[in-house]
This record gives sequence, C-alpha cells and structure tokens, in this order.
Amino acid sequence: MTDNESADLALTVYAPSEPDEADLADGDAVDPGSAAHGIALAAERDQLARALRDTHRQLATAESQLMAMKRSATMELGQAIVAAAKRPWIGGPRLPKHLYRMWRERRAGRAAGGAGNGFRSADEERWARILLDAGAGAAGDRFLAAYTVPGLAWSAAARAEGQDMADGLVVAGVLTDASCAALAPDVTAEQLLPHDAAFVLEGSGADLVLIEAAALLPGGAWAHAGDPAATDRGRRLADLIDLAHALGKPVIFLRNAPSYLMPYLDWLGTSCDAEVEGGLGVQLARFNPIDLPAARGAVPVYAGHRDPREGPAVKRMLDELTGSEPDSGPASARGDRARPVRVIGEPSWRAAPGLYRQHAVFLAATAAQAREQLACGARVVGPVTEDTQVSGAAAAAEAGEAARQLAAAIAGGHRDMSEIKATLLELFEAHATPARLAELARLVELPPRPVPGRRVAVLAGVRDAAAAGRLATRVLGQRLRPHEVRVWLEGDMALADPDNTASRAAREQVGGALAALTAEGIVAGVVTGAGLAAAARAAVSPWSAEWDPQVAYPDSYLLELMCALECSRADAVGPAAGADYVFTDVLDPAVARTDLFRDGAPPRSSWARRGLRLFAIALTADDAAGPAASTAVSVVAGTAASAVAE
Amino acid sequence: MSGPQAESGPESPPPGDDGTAANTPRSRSALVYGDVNLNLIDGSAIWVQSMVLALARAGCAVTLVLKAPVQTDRLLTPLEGEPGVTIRRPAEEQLADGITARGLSPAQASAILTAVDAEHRHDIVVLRGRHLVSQVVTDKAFRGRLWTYLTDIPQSIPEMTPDAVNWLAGVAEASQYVLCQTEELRCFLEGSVAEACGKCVLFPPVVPPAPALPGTPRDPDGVLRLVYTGKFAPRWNTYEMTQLPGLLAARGVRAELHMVGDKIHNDPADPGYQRRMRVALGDPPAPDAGDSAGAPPVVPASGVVWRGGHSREGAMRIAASCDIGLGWRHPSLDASLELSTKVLEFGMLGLPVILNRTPMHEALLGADYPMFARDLRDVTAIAETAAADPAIMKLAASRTSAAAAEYTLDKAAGRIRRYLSDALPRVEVAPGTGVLKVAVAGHDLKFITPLLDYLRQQPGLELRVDHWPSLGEHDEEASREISRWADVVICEWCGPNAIWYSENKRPKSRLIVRLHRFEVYARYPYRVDIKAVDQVVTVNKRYAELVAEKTGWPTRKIIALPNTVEVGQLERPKLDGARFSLGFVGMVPSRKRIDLALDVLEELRRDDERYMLCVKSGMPWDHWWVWQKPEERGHYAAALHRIQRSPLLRGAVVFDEAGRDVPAWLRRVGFVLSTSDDESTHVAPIEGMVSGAVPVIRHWPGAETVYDTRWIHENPQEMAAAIAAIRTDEQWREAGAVARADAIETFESRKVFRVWYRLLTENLTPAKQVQRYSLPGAP
Repeated sequence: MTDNESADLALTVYAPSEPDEADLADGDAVDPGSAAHGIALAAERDQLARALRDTHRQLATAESQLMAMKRSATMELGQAIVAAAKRPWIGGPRLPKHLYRMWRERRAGRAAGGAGNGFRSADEERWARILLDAGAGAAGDRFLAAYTVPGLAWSAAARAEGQDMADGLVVAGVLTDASCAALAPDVTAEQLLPHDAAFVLEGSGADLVLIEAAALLPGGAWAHAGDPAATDRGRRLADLIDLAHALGKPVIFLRNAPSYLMPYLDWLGTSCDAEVEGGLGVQLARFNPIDLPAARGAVPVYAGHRDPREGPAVKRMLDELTGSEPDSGPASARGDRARPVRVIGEPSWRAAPGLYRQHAVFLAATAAQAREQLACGARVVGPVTEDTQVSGAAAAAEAGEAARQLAAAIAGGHRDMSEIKATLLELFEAHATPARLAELARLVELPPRPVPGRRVAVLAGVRDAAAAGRLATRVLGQRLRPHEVRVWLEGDMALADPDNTASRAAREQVGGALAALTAEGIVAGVVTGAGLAAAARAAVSPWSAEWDPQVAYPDSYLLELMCALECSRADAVGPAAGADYVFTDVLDPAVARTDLFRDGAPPRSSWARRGLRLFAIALTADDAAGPAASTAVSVVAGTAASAVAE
Repeated sequence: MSGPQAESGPESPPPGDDGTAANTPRSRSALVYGDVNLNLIDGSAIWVQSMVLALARAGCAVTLVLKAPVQTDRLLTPLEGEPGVTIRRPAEEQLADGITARGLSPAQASAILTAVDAEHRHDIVVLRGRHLVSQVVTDKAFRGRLWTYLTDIPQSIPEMTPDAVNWLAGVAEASQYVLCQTEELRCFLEGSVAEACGKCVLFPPVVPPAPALPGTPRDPDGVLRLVYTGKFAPRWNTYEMTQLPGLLAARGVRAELHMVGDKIHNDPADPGYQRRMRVALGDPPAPDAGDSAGAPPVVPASGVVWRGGHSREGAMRIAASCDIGLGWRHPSLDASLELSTKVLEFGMLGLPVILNRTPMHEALLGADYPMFARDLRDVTAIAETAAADPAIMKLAASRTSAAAAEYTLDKAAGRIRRYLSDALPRVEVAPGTGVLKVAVAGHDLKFITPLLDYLRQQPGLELRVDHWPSLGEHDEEASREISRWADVVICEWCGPNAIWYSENKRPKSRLIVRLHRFEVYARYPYRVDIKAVDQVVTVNKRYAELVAEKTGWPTRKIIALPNTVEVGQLERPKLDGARFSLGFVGMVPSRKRIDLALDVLEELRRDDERYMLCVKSGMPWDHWWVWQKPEERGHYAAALHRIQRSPLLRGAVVFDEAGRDVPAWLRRVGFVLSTSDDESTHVAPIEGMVSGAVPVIRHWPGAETVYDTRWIHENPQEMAAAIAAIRTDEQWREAGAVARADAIETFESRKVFRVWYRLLTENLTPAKQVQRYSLPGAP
C-alpha cells in the first residue's frame, strides 16, 4: 500500500460516520453482523485456496530439485541445488510477507483480548487478523477476474457462428491485440492481464501458455515488464510461469520484438520451456485476396515508420529508396515523391488487412509483414529490416537491387489469382497461424491436433475393396491429409442387411483396404447405412469433403479447398462457374460444414437464402489426367447423385 | 505503552559553508571505507578515490580508513593533497591486532570504524563491499547514517531469491542512502526490496580525467583507425573485430584496428578460442611499440595492430590517436544493470564509439546516435559511412563527449552536495543561541514523520515525541512532563491530544495544532481551548476557511501549510509510451471514484486505443472496514464488472501492485488522475507532477486552493478532452515541465519545512490568495 492510500484509509477508519470513541468508552464491541461473518468465512476459504496454490508451486520447485539431484553426479549436486534455488521466484519476495504474516499472527495472538494498534475493540482486531492479510478479503483477488468471460473478447468477434471450438486448442498468455486477433479464428485465446493472470489461467483450461515479447513493449497491459523500472510486472510474469508449470502447462516465449528494446529478458527465455523467434504466423482469415479491388495503388509503398533505431544498413537503404528521414512527421508528408518508394506508416492491426489490399507493390519491413502482404495479393520486395528470405518476395540486400526489384514488380502488374493462390497454399502449409501453432505445440510435445478449421473428413462411396484401396492411395497422396475418411458401400451391398454375412465380409474387406490410412494416423472406417448423409453422421470433423473415388484429384485438391475455407471462413467452398475466390449465392460444395451433409440439413439450393456463406473457388486442374473439368463435373455429379433429398 | 522518547539532535558544529578552501571549516563530516585494496588500481579502488574526492569537494571533512597497508601511493597522493581529507592507516597506526598484509577483515573494519567514529561522530558513513556492509549491519553500527554502495546485487528477477531480498532489506533499513550506479539498478532494487524505496539515490561512475596527451596531432592520411582496449574474450567480440580491416578494405576503405590489451580469455566452452584469437591478433607486440612519441607502430597486412598491455594512461594515449573506439559486444552482455565506463572514457577523449543499442546507451547518447551496431555487418557499415562522412564522426563524438561530461568528479560532487543537503538539511544558528525544545504529540505520526526527520537534523533544536497509543489514549504523566519541558508543542491531529495540551499548556510556551480532514467533521475541535493555541495549521486554504467557519476560531490563527513531497526521489526519466498511460493511485475508499477514471479512459479510447489506465492501489477487500459496507462492495463490483466486460476497457486497465515504489512506477505514467469527491490534499497528483506527469484533476471542493486551475476540470468528459488536446510528445513534455515546476515551487519539502521552522518561533499570517496557493508569510 502506498503512503497515500494508508493516509486515506487512516482517515476512513476515523471517519465521522463511525461511532465516536466516547460511545465506545464502556468497551462495547461493534457487532460485525452476519454479513461480516460470511465475509470472514469466505476470507478463510480464500486463504486456504491461496495456501494450496503456494503448495503447488513449492511442489513444482521440489520436483525440479529432485530431478536435478537425480541427474547430477556428486560434484554437480551442490550446483544443481543452487540452480534450483535460483529458479524463477517461487515463493520469492512473498517470503517476507509470509514471515510478516506469521509475525502479525503471533503478535495478534499475544495481544489477544486487548485492543491495540488503533483497533477500537477485540472484535475489530479479530476481523482484522483474518481480513487484513494481503488479498485474504472476501472473494479476494478473484474479483479481478470474476467477471471475465473466458475467451469471449477475441474469439466471438472472429469466429463464424456455430463453429465449435470445444475441441480446439486453448492458448493463454501475455499476448498483443494483434496476436489475439490472429489466434481468435482458430483457437480460444485468453489474453492474461498482470492482475488477473493467475485466476484466468487456472480456469481457462489452457493447453499452452505463450509469452510474447511484443506484448511487453510500451502500449499494452504488460508494458515495460521486461524493464527494471517495472520490476513489479516482471515479478508477475515470473509468477505466471511458475503457476503454469505448477498446473502442468508448457510455456513458450516468443521473441518477436527487437532484443535491443528489452535486453533484460534472458531470464525469461531460460524460465520457459521453449524460446522461439518470430510471431504467430499469418492469419489468412484477415490477410487474403478475397474481393481484391480492381485498381490498386501502383506506387510502391513502405508500410512502416522510419525509426531512429534503424540499423545503419537499413537506414541507408530506406533513405535512398524513400528520401525520408526517421521521425520526419506525419506519414502522408513523408518521403520524396521522386523516389521509388513512399512511406505510408505502420498500420494498426485493425487497419492492416485493408491497407495491404489497397496497394499492389510493397517494400516490406519484416518477414511477417511480407507474408501478410503476399497473402493480400501484393508483390513484395524485402524484408528490409531482417535477414530472412521470404518465399514469394524478392530479396534485396541494398538500395540499388531493391529499386530494380521494385521496378520489375511494377512492370509485372497485378498478380493473377493463380499466382496468388500458389503463394496462399505455401503460406497455408508453412506460415499460417494454424501451421505456426502446430509447430509450437510440437516444440513442447503437445499431442498433435489440427485446429478445428483444418479438420476435414473425406466422405466417399465405394463399391469394393479395390475402390477403397484406390481411395486410400489418393488420399494419402494429398498435400493436406484429411483427419478422417468415412466410406459407405455402394451398389448391392449398400442395400444389404448389415448383419448379412456377405455384407459383413464386404465391409471387412473395404475396411482392410483402408488400413493404410489408419497406419498414417487418419481415422478411417465403413459407416453403417448408405449415402453421404450416413457418412456425414459418422464423421466427427467439423468439415467434410465429398470425394469421388473415380476421380484423380490433384494432390493439392484438399489443400486448395481448406485454404479457401481458412481465408473465407465460409460455410461451404466449391466451384461455381466463372467465379474464383469470391462469395457467391450458388455453388456445388466440395467442402462444407459436416452438419450440412447430414440428414435434416437445409437443401443446398436454399443455403444462400438461409444466410450461409458460400465461397467459390476455381480448382487447379490436374495436368496428367486433365481432370479439372472432370473434377468439377464429377463433383457435381457425385453431389447430385448423393445429394440429400431436397 | 509508549511514552515520550528523548531524542537529541546532533552536536552543533561550528557555522561553516560548503566551500573547499583549505582552512574553511566544514559543516559536515564523512567517514569512508571501501573493502578494497588501494594498492591495486582497479575500478573499485578508483571508486573509493572518487568518492573521497567528491565528498571533499562537496564540503565534507572526510576521513578515509584504509583496508590494507600502503604499498603504493598512486591513488593516495591525490587524496593527501585534497583539503579536508584525513587518511587513517589502521595497519601502520596499529588500530587493531592481527592485521595481515591482505588488510582488515570485515569484523576488524567494523570495529575500527566504530572506534574512529567514537573519536568524532561523523554525519555520514560511506561503505563499499558486501561482506563489510553485512558485518556493519549485523553490528547495528551507524544506523541511519550509512551510505552503502553494493556490488554483486542480483540483477534479474530469478536471482532475487528470498535470501537476497532479506539481506538487501536489512541493508536498506540500516542505511540512510543506498548508492546505485544506474537508474535501472535503482528501479530494480526498489521494485524487489520494499525497504529500499526512498533510500536509493544515484551515484554514477566517475571517470577520471583524460591524461595529458603529448605530441602533435596526426595529419589526415585517409586511414580509418579503430581502437579496442580491454580483455580479449568471446563475448567481447574481439575475434570478430579482427575481421574489420579486411571487410572495410573490400569496400574500398583503408582501415587499421589497434588492439590494446594482453589478456586472452581461455573459454572452456570453446577450447580453440585462445589460439584463434592469438592468430587473429598477429605478431605479439614489441615492448612499448607505438607508445614513444613520433614512432608509429608497424601495421601488418591484416590491418590488425596488437599494441599489447598498457597502463590506463598508455591505453588512453593510443586511443586518442585513433578515430573510432569499439565497444560493441555480444547481446548477452546487454542485460547488465551497470554502465560500462568504456564509452565514457572514450568520450573523455572526444572519440566516437561503436557500441550496442540498449535502453541504457540510448539514454546516454540518444536514440538517434549514429553508431549503434547490432552485428558485424552494422559495425562495418558504420565504419564505412563514418570514413566517408566526417559529419557523422563529429556528431557521434559530440554525443560521447557530452555524455562523459556528466560523469566527471565535479558532477559527482554536485550530486553529493544535493544528497547532503537532503540528508542533513540544517538551518544554521548563531553561536550562543539557546536550544529550542520542541515536542510533537499525537497517535498517528505518519504524515509528520518527514517533518520530524527534518527537525531532528536542526542543530538549534531538541526534539521529543509524545506518541499516543491511540486517538484518545496516552500516558498522562509523561504528557505532563513533556508539557513542562517543551518550549513548543506541535499536536499532530486535532483530537484529544490537542484538547489535553490546550488545557495543560505551560505559560509562555507555544502550542501549534495541525488539523487534517476528519477532525473538521468531528467534535474534537469544539473542545479545544483555542485561546491556548498559537497557530492552527491546515493543509490547504479551503480547510482553513472551513475550520474557521465551523469552529469560529480567529482566522488570524489559522494558516495553511501543504503536505510535502520528496522531489529528489521523483525526478526520473519517463519510459517510452508514458504519454498514453494514465495513472491512478489509491482507489480505496469509494470516494476516490475509480468509476470516473474509467469514464475518462472510455472517452479517450473511443478515438485512440493507445490510452491505458494503470491503477496502483491496494484492493478494497484488503480493508475490512471498507469491504464490510455493502455500498462499497457494490461500487467496486460495478467498476470491475465494467472493466472486464466493456469492449473499450477490457485489457486497457491494469492494477499494479500497491507499494512504496511510487517513483519508479510514475516513470510509466504520463497523466495522473484525481477524480475524488473530496480531498484535503491529494498527494498523488503532486507526486505525479514532480515526476513530469501532467495532472488531470476533477474539481473537488477546494482543489483550486491546492493546484493551479489550469489542471482542474469539471467532469470526466472535460478531463478526457484536456488529455486528448495534448497531441504530440513535445506538447506533453512541455506540460509536464510546467507541472513539475508548479509542484516543486509549492510542495517541495525543504521549502515547506523552512516555513515550519519559522512557525516554531513566530506566528505567520494566513495566505491571502484564493485561486492559487502560496506559502504563508512568503514574500
């Protein structure tokens, strides 16, 4: 408590509304009343909860000490114990508080029955002993998170209605708004605050805790936590890591801010389970080429600000390309128009997608920005502030080379959709947020689990085991493999009694043919019943793709569909005549929400009228079999054949 | 039950000044001991020398006690010639038995220092060395007079173990000041050890002046000369540096790299390093190669010239003959909270330096300093650019020179002078003046403690305290004795203590009653015999008027003297982004109106999401007398509900821990809010103002008598508009500077305490201004 607060509380204690001391001259006790009694009971409960949390932390310390001792030889034993003692701050500066609390309790015990320390009665002192311990008040510090709805703030805004995230990844952490926005469509993201981190983390069900360096920069709730001037926030960060470990949650430190801005964070990296460079990848739901404007700004732009902290090589390049100086005023005024690049300033996380669609050519500041701009269909040169090569962007080590690349980009005109989609597929596989999350999860040995948005079931009707085998082979050849494959028997077996011997034998044969899928971790099986609806009923993935075993789909088939889905967050994706990467009113769904294939789903002709979002995509033709047209036809035919009754 | 505590001030020294003339009596005395051997010329020894010189030049009579027998007097000679410095040699003077050639043990040192202090009590005792300080703290020696300088302080959160915190807390409690080399270290210490708050002051390194450099300047020859001095070790990037001449040659720049030093680190993690480094350095240096006037060294084809080991003077002489100094190191060394003096030493020579960009170096040289390097590519680019553009070298050199100029002995003496003035704020009295006996009586002395500390320092006063155990409880006999003894009685709070002393006043003594807030609405003032009271002190004019109105007391007796703030602790640089950070201190009880602060924030965030609110406060549920009231619980539940659910507020409000580290916390705050329904003096905005934050004050009754009306607004919307009207960093800094000047003018403790000092012997006339507060009796 600051002195000022103590002052005001002292004034409050003796506020005129309280009984005058003369009224208490006879030693009358103030009856706290039943409400206060309830308060005290709740306080005691919170005290016990706090003690239990402390015990968890101490247990984590003891466990690590034990592991250290087991691993070490006698010479290292002492060092291991010392190292364990230096672990992040378990019971650290709280210890003096514990001692203080014990001292107070002993003192209070010795003074039992006597009012002292300014208390007006024994009852007052008794309540004070319970309630004056820091944070032990009724419901206590939990009030700081009592009204927080887990994951609501970010996920609801970005998630399509009805998308079930119950089985998705839950990520809690010290995150920027931009990262939360990137995560929200695919995971449940809990943005922890310094004062509520412990409570929110405990109740979040988080699978993973992320601490983002960028979130420690000025401007956020954890600002300066890496600076000695905000040691209080740094301690809370250490507390958070301790608690996460006590709860068995892995912690990853993302170094996505310049180290020169926060050099005091080495301890953070070593305290976490993993430390990685970079951020959370490109969120294709935000950065994508959907409905690009016909006309985009042709002048190359630099969507960053000229920072006095630019390295000398970067500064020289940008000075030459833009003609502006660091910190030279409003973005619109920056730069020499005779130079090849105009500085337009760094957009906010909200404005970035719109801005990247407005311009055709960018000089990218960072690799992350380059990928976002590429995803928006722009031509990109750079990045200039990092040494990273970005696939799809033209690298340039110095101003002259950059100028040539920019001129070539201008001459190249707008990128066509086939080029953009090729870039998108690459981003989807390697750099999109779900891919980045999968990488992070692997790093801390979390069980592999695609985000719900990438979990697709292939639904197919097969006549026999041979067809099933072909299906399995083609599915395994896909660049993006489905989560599951559900097949139904077609032909005579479709109508046969499942318990019929021949039917059972046929199912077993088909099931055997699908074993190759199971061996690769794809859930596969033969459903009871026939038809698409039966297969959809058995599928557990949120998305399903209807599959014709006769068609030789290109290996990018599922990849393209799911990529389009991830960009559009539509309810269904598929070809529509003359349309590519736009929303439409009519299409034949190649992939859709699984429940749309089930019995009781609205007829396809009514989907648009019912408000479902339909996204059209022109799929890549397969060069060997030329199935592009046949793919579309067979999909349509397959669809028509197995359509749910309209 | 506590009774009067007899306390006496220090012995009255003869009047004197702070001058450094040899025969000028010195008004303050300092005892200095460093647990370092002054026969070894290293950084710690130079520190001791610098401290003694700085104290002497700040006007102290300094006694330096040496640790070890004298073998070389290189560091002592300047001290022996310095006026006001006395050197004690325990070994030679046989001040203790068993002093070895290695010098005093901590136990011996503590005993000897105590004995030396007993001969003549020193005002301050300056100590350096962990084990020594431990010993002195254990011995409970020099409590309240210690100025401790510690090295080996843990510098990261994990290293700040409970044991470390406990030890540092003990040291801080025993110290008057804890000297910290950098602001980073100070803030970290305060943030980790509550007892250190208010005790930490800055004592940056003192860079000895550059030696005289003989010889004529070299004619420009188109060769860029880089220089490195120090050890050769992996993390000091010395191996990478040896590639520079070749890299620069590839870019058409003729360059030499001069390497001064002779210690090549043996890295267990990299067994080949020593050999590699030696090969890169080239031929071992010939004796005195290049040091003789007019004999330039032979430059091998590699461009790397190994100059070997040299004295500090020799190293600086070589550096002065070069163009750019190299201080670029591995990033793992950036985490140190201490300042490397390399850049300062080069700066003393007028040399630009290539070094790592860190917040500390940015504060030293400016964020736009042109020679910050991240990697070898940057170093090469900088050197190439500098070779082509002399203006860059000139700019960089001017920055390093300016930085170094802040670390001279004169600057150190100036800092010491200020600390001495704060620690020992004495009002000198004429010889022969009688001692004034002053007593302070009251149950809660929290607010008057700073004044008590000030009064204790005064040579013309003797001070006693009649500490009442509770508002109405006291040892009557002890109070009677105080009343008989004291010339002046100050009653802190107008409660039963004021009533009793007004009824038991000794004739011809003075009775001063200080009244805060709650007493105005209580019955106590009506029972005070006002005829016996000489002056009533309120904290602002509104309360002065209110007291007069409610009690009918003569207005000539009622004056307003504000609460005070310690300016020195609050003047710290703001952190990046502070401009968008609103600060709120103390949200309990509900009349503080945290809900209105949320209104201000919401209003701002409609247009600009960068604004945040930082609340430094205890929680209402921590105080049973607040939390048991349903209306209080409802107030906070509503506020927290709003914070956690509102799209504009969620994530924009941070509750920082309550604590005494307010000065460090204010570094992150650009605007301090005061939204209370009622205050006497709201100290939080004042502290914020001294820190350079802009105050934004809701017009609670009487606010206009405390603050300039330019900071006062009628409602949250106007408060938000005032904040938003400050659109640039420059405007914000300007407003902050005005606010700081306002606050210092009115609330700086030394000024206010000087008025209190006058009040002890004379009645002051009430301030007449209404709109703007000013000190009564001030011209």
